[in-house]
Amino acid sequence: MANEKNKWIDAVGKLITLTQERKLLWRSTSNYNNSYEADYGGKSLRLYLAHDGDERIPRLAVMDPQTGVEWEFPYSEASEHLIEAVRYQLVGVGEFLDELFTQAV
Amino acid sequence: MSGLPTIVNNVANRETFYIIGNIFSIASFILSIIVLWNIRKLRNAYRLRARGPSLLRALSKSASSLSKFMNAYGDFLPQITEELARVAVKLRSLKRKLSGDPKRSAKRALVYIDQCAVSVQNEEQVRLVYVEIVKVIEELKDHQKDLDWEM
Repeated sequence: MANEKNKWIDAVGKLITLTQERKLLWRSTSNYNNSYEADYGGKSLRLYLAHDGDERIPRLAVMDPQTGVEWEFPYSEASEHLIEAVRYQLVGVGEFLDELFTQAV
Repeated sequence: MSGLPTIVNNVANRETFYIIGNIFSIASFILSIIVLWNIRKLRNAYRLRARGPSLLRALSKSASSLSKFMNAYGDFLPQITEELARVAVKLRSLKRKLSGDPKRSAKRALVYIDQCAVSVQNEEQVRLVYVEIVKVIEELKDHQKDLDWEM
């Protein structure tokens, strides 16, 4: 059980690395639902916030673009970190900081 | 005594009492060890119940910070080193309270942290450490849920 879960954590960890290294480019699909998409290995990745009681937890799914069939990754803290990395990339925080530090004297 | 049957005479002699006494003292010694082991297990379970959630929250916070720092890995090397040191302290504290698989996971993550030198060249290794920390967090969350049923 733990080993099975670890495999998914490894996978999400790899997606975080690819996102932070800008080898995986995400796009925002909705302004209100915090929903993001990316393409990798011929599949579409979908990351969104879903309601779970009072909480909103990130869900990561991989989808076959031809059939539209979707499979959801099991939840782990790594999914929370992935959504943070996606937002960092989409907002362009890195570029903003570079700009800020080159301007400020 | 001469009226007693021979078998009772044989059982009731001094050597037999010595043997029975020895057997009982060995048995009570084994029992004491079992009781001590159970007390230790219970004490650790209570400690984990009391301190586990806050340690887990601290570990989650550190993992989140590590993940954020790795958006610009090269710029945050001192912060990453500091965060890993914090994680190591929390894991050492947790390790003492854990047993079985979660203890092994905490130990493995500690080995990863101890062997990891944070430098520009070692980004891949630091990322591996981060993933190990997340694995420990998930395993500990499951363990905390099990504790809710046990106690």
